[in-house]
Amino acid sequence: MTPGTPGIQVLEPGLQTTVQDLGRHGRQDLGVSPAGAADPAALILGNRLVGNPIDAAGLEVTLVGPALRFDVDAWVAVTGADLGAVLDRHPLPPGTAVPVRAGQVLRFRGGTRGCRAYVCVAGGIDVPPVLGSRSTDLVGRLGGPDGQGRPLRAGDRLAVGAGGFRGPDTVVRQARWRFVPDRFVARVVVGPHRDHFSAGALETFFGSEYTVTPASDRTGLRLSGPAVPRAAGEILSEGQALGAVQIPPDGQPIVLLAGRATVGGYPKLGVVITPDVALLGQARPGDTIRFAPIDPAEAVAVYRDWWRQLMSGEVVVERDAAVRSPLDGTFYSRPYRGAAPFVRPGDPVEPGTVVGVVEVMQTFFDVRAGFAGTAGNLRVADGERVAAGQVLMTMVPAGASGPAGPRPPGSGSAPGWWPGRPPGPPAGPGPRGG
Amino acid sequence: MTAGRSGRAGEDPGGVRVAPAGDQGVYVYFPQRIDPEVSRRVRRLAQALRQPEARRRGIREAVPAYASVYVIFDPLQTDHRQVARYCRRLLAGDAGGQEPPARRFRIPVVYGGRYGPDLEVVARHTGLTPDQVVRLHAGTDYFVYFTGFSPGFPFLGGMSPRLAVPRRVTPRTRVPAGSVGIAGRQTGIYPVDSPGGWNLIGRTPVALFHPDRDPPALLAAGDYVRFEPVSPDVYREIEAAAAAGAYQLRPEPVGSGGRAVHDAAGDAATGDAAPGGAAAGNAAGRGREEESR
Repeated sequence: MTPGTPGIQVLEPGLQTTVQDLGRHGRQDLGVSPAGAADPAALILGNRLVGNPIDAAGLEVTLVGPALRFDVDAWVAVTGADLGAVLDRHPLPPGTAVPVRAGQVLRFRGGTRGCRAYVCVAGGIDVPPVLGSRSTDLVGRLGGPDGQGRPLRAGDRLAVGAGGFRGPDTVVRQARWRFVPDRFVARVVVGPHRDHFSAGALETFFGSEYTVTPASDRTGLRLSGPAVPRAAGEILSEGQALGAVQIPPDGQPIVLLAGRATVGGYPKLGVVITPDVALLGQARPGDTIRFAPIDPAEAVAVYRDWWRQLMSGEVVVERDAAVRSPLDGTFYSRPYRGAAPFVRPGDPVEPGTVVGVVEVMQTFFDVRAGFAGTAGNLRVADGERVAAGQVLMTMVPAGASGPAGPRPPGSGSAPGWWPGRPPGPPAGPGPRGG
Repeated sequence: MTAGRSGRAGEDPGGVRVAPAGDQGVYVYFPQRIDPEVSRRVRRLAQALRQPEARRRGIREAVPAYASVYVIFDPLQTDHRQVARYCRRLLAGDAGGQEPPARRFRIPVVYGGRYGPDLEVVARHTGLTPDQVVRLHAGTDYFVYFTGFSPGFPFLGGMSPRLAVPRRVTPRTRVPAGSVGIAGRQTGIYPVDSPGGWNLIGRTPVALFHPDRDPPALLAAGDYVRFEPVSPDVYREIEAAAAAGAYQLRPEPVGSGGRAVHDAAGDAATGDAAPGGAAAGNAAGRGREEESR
């Protein structure tokens, strides 16, 4: 981007943060890797949360996250693994879209489960597309911040595109999705090189647990476990399917991920189905994986169901996050002068919890939360005149859970990350918040 | 997903086998050998699978290799069985339309020196002089079986078996783009800077891949390549012209008269028709430079 264009500044790059969309498709015959998000489900849902087309570019964060300063107001969703995203100092739960103000800094404190988080910004990360995609191909050296296929570096400035969700900041958008499974079980369609493997080899493969080694990267998961015996010799080099389970001569399987090269010469015992490849994008070194066979027709049915769920209205929910004044009067945040406030930012709130009072003609009316969640910042000052319907406080509604199962632990409680200011023109840089 | 009447494991009389690849692909396998005739069948099928009709049927991509086509489909629209059936129908009808006429690219290469630091190694290993290595390597047409692995990388057939040298024991951490190398019985050109274990005998200033070009890859399956020794001066001239966007390597048609050969043994004998040595190929190299724009 041209210097000075407002967008996102990379303060620290993290371990390996790359720009990814859903991939550079259609040129594998020329040797162009599709690249793209290692966990496409997380990118798709992040984009849906901020109102982008599902194939808009976001940032793929690996284990150790970057520090990103926003120069513009933006809606941002962090999806995928819970790598401890914090906006300024306020935790940002995974799968939740929030408004970010110019000057705020998004950081990652680290996590214990899952490998990759996705930062999706309304309008998308607008680096120059290469062959129709913004994805970073680290091996073929295409795409990314300058088109040269490299990860982010400190000092990079990323433009943010136009469009996307620009809704009121009194709503919260959440994804009901389980991004990281408790146990990794990947379903595999056996083949294409079935003949290279004995029945015993298949038994070993499907009956054993494999550990993800630190040699794994975006090109593939290198596993360690009981060796899978195979026929001697290589195959003629051929196209490489996403999710292909290659067995090199040492019998230790390699599962190919989004960043793979287009051609390879190890026999493939099978190919992991797409929905489970997305999950494997969340496997980190030390995690264990089991494999289960699935037949091709069933695999297609599973894919269709997965896609329908990913696209359905049920997985992205928008909720009013505001607590409003029931009538015209004067607002007080504490029961009497000098007392502790009813709630502080970050406090858990149940339906019916009193968060303040409004005084009308010497009579005090309780203001109660209508739903469970976490208290955010007050939007009005103590003793301020308020009108009926005016927003007094915003909340983060309690964690969504849905068809894809319970959300990862820790994501349900979200202290007061909510930016503590009413909408307005962006102020100068500098930390701020609740 | 055995396709109906064609027998067990999807095997065809024509030696074609279709095998599943996860939830959104199949592999179509031809007889597993490196052979221009098999390659022709591969190219025809891949080409047919790129037509609008295939797209309408939910086929997204066809990735050809030596003796296979990896076919990617949209599982929302179709499935393994339908795609396998369609591929067989294309093969039975030998569809795919007219094959484009064969082309030959003359690729300028500086052999030896810092451009090809392993030329001496290859000479020692093969018992040839460096000059003989260059003559042999540059004196034959190579057949592009397919491109893949990295952007624009050609899998070339036709190197003289006399030039076969094993990979380096210790791979280099960085091989510059354009390096021409030998590994085993294969020769190739590195399209991008990358680590690599091939023996480097020369380098070309010609970019094999540029994302802004259409098509982005210089070489396509079915093309022929001939290496033309040029001097470092010519290399630098071409490099400068390419940087200024004023260099384009144009192919020449491979006519029925001067039919290109991929048979290395046959062609190696005619090697002395090629320009002599690393520094002597100036004129030949210059002749192919074409100014454009």
